[in-house]
Amino acid sequence: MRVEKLRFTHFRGAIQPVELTFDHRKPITLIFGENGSGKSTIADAIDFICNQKFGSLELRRGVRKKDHIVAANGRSSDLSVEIVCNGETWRAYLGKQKPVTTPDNAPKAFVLRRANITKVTEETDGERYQTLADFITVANIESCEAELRKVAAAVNKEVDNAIQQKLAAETTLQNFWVEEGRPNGNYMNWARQSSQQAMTALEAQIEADTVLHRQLEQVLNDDHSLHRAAQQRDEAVAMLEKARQEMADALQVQTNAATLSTLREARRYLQANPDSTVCPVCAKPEPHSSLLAHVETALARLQTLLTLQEQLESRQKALTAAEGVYDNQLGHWRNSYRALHHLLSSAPISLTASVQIAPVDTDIATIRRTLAQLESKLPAVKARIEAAEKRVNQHNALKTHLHTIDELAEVTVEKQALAQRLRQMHDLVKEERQQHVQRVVDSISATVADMYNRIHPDEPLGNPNFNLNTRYAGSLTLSATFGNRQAPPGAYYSEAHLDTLGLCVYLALARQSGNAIVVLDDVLTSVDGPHLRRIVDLINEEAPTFGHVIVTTHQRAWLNMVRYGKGMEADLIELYGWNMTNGMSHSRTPLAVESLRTAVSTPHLDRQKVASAAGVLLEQLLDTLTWRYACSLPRKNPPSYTLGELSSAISGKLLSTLRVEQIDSDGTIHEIPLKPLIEACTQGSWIRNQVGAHFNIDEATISDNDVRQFAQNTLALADALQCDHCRQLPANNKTGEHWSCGGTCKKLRLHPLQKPA
Amino acid sequence: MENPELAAGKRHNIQLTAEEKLANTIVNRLVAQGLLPQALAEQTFYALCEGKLREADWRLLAEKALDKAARGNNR
Repeated sequence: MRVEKLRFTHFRGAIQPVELTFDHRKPITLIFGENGSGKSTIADAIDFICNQKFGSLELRRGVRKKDHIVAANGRSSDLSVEIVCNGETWRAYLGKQKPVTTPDNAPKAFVLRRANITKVTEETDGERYQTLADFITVANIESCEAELRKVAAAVNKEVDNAIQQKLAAETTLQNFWVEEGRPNGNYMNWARQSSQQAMTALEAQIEADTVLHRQLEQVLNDDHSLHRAAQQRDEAVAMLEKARQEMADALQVQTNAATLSTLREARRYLQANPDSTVCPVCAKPEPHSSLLAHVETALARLQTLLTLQEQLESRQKALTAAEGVYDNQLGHWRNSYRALHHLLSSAPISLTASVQIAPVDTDIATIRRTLAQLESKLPAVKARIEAAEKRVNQHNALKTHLHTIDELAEVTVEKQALAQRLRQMHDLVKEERQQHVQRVVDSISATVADMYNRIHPDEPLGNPNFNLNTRYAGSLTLSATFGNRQAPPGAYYSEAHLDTLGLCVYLALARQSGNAIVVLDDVLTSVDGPHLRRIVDLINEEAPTFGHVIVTTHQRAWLNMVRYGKGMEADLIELYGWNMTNGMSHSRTPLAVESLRTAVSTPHLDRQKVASAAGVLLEQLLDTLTWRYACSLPRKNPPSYTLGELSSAISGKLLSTLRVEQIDSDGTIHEIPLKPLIEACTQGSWIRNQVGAHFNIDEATISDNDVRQFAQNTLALADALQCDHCRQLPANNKTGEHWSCGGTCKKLRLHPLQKPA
Repeated sequence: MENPELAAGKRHNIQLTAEEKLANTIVNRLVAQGLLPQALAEQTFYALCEGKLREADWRLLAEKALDKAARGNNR
């Protein structure tokens, strides 16, 4: 997946919209910029849109990712990132929780930062596993495996519960058995036999005893009520006698008691006949009003007698009522006793056998003697009922517990089978998943070791190796050899070794994903020149297996290496200083050769610039040749040489044999001897000093044409030495026959392989 | 034992993802060991690939396999 364009606005350092155009023909892009120029913003933008991550902010503490991913002058809604790859466009914005990319099939990107390297090489096995988990694990299957593990544990728990419940039921049975005095030698045998016994007779006895007990209590209650009714009747008789006596005493004092009666009758008559004008007693004519007044006056005088008369009447009524209650209660009492008598005679029980049962129609006192005897038996009847009920309840409990035990035994067997099945399934899934992850880890491990050994050939510290720690879930060990021993790389590796190891791990992971975009965000700050050159070789060789390799760096050596075609064919983008007004600035950086060619072809020739640039390019070309052929040069510290020193270091014999072969895309080989090209350049090299390097009066005597010619000669030598296809100088001698350009190009060959003796 | 759809995928040279390859291996082994009825192999494969097999699903699969085994023993 080759990136063609990357646009972002209000993202991190991009306070103004930024658009980067990539040369999609080249598999590698080198983005050079000094610190604070926006390199990490570009890496973060790719992480944001491709992986929906907050980039370097994910690795920093004390930041609010959602807030700080937005440029200082922008709002969340202003933020946008857009990427164009292979003609297809994806857009990303800030969602509620995380970045959102549309469509959702964004290209995969591996973004490596220094902090990632530390996590891979120096953290604990668990943290290393977490860092690499996305790359080596199978998340969906692991999630299913976790569910399987949970259900297997849950069913195991169900089995345990069933066993516990069965045990509790058995313990209860055992306790019953012990209470019963351990009959039958075995509690289960006893329980099963006991549960088979019929309880019908016992239940019938309970029923009969309960009915008798209830009826006896009823009769005793009724007897108590009858006692009370008789007592109330006797009291009413006494009260009536007392009232009669009081009336008799009053009548002895009031002799005209008969008059009272007559007067009361007369008043009743007068009240009923208000129009009467004659006395109702003597028929003498008299006004009604005076008649009633006379009667009232006479009656008032006889009030005492009247009160006593009313009391007498009231007590007579009370007696009548008490006698009614008594008769009623007596009826109840006899009925209750009749029922009891019937029970005792129809189904006599042993407890009452000794009692003399009075007939129903006999006198009350006789029946009461029978009741007194029966009442003394009540506690015994009650006790017999309770004892029988206890036996029946125990029998029912035995049956219930036996049923529970039998049912749980069956359930336990079923659940044990299910638990075993789930355990087997889980073991199988786990085993396959672990083997898969181990295979992935082994594959990565082999790739890492291969890459690492290519960067550090013939070094005693090597053979890094990953291993899943099967004793712990989510644990990934990393070890390496140190002479004859194995140890974590962090123990002995230098910072540079750890950096390159981390790089190799990420490249190996990215290789797993095939067509991924690989971003190396200023990761190689600690390696020296020779190792950097081998890393560049590694990236060159691996680049075709990735979609696109984007390297950001602040190392100018790396920039120059690309600009002068010394080992890496890359698209070059240079970032300039960031500021609050314009944000990030950038431009495409031409190769040194192209820069010079443009300057030479300009009508108004910048003499100093052209002479200087041509001189630098020529120095670099001669430096390459003298280096390749180990030409003799005076020792210097630092080892910097003049054009004159470099040109004279190439012996005449070597000069005569130097030639290049350039291979066309159709396979045609063009051979170019280098001697005339080198001689043409070196003969005019003084122009560089005169025009391009120093103040010199004689500079005025040199024409523009001379300057232009010097530059064009240098360009001719550069064109001969740089491959037409990859624009690289020959640097690879692996064929053993000649030097060739880097990577997989091999379209330029430089002869001879070694300086002639 | 192989899932017919997967076999068809192979014939048409459809490349399986790492997760699909692993799911296929797991399902084939479960079926081979009698831990999963063949009839449920396909749906189990897809559920595994999509991470959608929950506790209840696994339980049901195991119960069905047990049920099938019991019926087989009774015959």
